[in-house]
Amino acid sequence: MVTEDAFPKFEVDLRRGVIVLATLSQLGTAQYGYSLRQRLAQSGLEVEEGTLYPLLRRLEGQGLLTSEWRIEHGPPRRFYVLSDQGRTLYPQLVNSWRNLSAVMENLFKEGLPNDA
Amino acid sequence: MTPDDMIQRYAQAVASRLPHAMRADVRAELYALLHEDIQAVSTNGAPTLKLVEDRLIAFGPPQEVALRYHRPAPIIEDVDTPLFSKLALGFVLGLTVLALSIGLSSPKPLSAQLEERLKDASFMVLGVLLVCFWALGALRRAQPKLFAWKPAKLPAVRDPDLISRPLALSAVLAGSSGLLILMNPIAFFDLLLDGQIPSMLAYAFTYDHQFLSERAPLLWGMLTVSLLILALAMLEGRWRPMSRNLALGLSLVIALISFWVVLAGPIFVAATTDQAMKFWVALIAGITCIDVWLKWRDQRRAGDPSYLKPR
Repeated sequence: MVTEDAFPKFEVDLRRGVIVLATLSQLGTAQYGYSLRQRLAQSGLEVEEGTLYPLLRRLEGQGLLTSEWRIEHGPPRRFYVLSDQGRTLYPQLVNSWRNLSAVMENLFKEGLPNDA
Repeated sequence: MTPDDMIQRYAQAVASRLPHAMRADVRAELYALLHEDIQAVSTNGAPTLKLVEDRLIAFGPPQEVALRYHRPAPIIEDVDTPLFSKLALGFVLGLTVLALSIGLSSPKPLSAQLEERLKDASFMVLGVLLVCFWALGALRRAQPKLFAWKPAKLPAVRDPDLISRPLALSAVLAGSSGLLILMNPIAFFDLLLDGQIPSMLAYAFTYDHQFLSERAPLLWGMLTVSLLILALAMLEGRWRPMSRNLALGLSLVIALISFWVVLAGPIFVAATTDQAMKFWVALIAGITCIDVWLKWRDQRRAGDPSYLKPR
């Protein structure tokens, strides 16, 4: 049974992987949490602080990012940037995303009408 | 409390739920990020307490945010939960039946003492079970190769209605022999000891007159009928819905009669044998009740799995 609040739940699941890829895409140059969130928002992807900031830590824990404290025009901030492992993995993930996206587009064309 | 105090408290509340190694770093980073974030949304430079509160509520409860930073290993892993639940429920039900059997068969002070010990034992068993499953999870995480899954190790698919004739025959023979001994234990010992049964042994296994005339015929009659049903099912080679339901219903009836037999009065003339017999009858009746409930539940959940049955 689909309830009224089913959409947010499914959307969260859908966005989970996308946010990781989006985050990696912006960390070719060092960013701190707030500036990264601003960049993503300017590109149209709103990510809650409570999701993004812990995610940066987890990605660092998985070896995809490195981080350091820096003082640049203001208080000390922790800056994150892609690690070597992250730089190797990122193009592979982008490739995979493009393939998936193309497949999904085909499926949507062949499947049920889906104009929201 | 100032807005800055609230942000500091929040960062501290999140960090305190994390492993020691990352606490200070996350606290400092979270404080800096929240501070900057709140400064950016406050219109006239100085954020109000209300604004900070709203932003922190949007960020999430500290315990949830801490989980986003670091998810600790579970005490019982998801894959082990069904087995843990089954074992824990089995132990608790088993100990409950044991306590009930002791309560029904032993004198009051002794049964109260034993029941108290069983209560302690149930907590101990659950504690040990918890530690075992935690250790299992830790070992699985540390040595995943040890738990590598292999299709060849999967258990065979069993038709639940199929009856193994050799096993069923053994059960019928053992059940019939047991019933005959139960009906006349003195004759059995007499046969065993070549007619030299000691008088004390004969006294120990002498049935109470009232039991023999009132309760025994019903109990033994029902046990005989259940053996006959098993024998008929064995001849057919499989359980049919009717024979299965009949056997299930009869098991429940026998269990209820057994409880009545224990509660209605003495079974044996000798107190010691009577107490021991009542314990075992109550224990078997309790286990039968659980078995009937489990089978009835499985039958209901299975619905009509006709597509699974051989054609």
